[in-house]
Amino acid sequence: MKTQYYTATSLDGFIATEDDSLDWLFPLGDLNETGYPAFIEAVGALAMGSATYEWILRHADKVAAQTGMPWPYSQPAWIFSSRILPQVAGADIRFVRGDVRPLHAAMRETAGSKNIWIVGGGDLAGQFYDAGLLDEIIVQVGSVTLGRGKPLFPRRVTNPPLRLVSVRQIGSGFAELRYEVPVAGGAHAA
Amino acid sequence: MRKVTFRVANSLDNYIARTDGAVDWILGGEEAASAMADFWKTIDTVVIGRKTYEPVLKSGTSFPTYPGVKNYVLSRTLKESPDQNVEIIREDAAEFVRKLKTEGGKDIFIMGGGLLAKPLFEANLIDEVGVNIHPVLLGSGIPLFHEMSHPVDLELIECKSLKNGCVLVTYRVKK
Repeated sequence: MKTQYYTATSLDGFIATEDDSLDWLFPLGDLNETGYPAFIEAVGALAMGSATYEWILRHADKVAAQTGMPWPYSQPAWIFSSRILPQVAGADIRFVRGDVRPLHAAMRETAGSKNIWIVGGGDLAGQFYDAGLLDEIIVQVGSVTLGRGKPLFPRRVTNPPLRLVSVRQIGSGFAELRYEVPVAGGAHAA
Repeated sequence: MRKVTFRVANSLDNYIARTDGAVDWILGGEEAASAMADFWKTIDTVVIGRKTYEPVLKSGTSFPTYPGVKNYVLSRTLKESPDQNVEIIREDAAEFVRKLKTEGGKDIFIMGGGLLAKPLFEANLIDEVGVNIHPVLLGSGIPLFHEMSHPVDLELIECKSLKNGCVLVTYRVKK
């Protein structure tokens, strides 16, 4: 019943290059050796911004080669965008915009006892955090630097800090860090 | 050849200090101190950048030194250090560290900051990176890794969680 921001980042804190490429990510390890299979099993609804959605659209062939279909998720998905975006045929997706709170309530109802996954990007996860709705950050820290790109989580969370739940090494390519997000109201604005 | 290690504390989002230089969010603790104590045994040379050294200089305290450890500050602008334990080096950072590596001795500790590490990464002179990832997100600040001429490809050797919520990650630099 948690709302989780699960993502991968470079060691220097970027989840994608400036042109939204993830080419740096895939050589670092096999998704199936990470905590992903267990994680996705427990997800009942997911949310993503337009850059993440458009990445999937652009890489439909690659996604289909790996998962057997151009849209990789069986869970209902909420796509946050102020633009009109093409719909993937057969995918359970709805396009939404605005305040995350009422949309989170709808996602919660759909997810039931399962978790809500904020796929990305960092600012969308930040909006859930701002509304006090983000419970966990699970980040695969990749063994590479990018120099510049899209930030992991453009917010300040220092007091109280995140609470480290677990650490796991995945080969030489990833450190999987799992954190609980503090719930102290308004602390993030400090 | 002597191993060169860049070792620092950072936030989960790659900052070593707040925008104003503050490091009030850095956590101490016995485990981190003990890991550092083990590390000090392997080195006899510390190299730091001017921006890391200047706050020490301005605070009027002397640079924390360890017996048998030589301290070098790389700066083109600083005059002689008032601290006899610190030698100011005016030459190019990469050339200086390249020369150090060929000399005999124990390993070399690049203490920071990111601006000193950048030309050393670009010249492939850093062999290991140790990062003490703190359980905070700063949102903005002074970065650990700056944009470089090429991405730094790393090989994760170890990650270890500490009781204070920090994670010590150690990487070998792929060359």
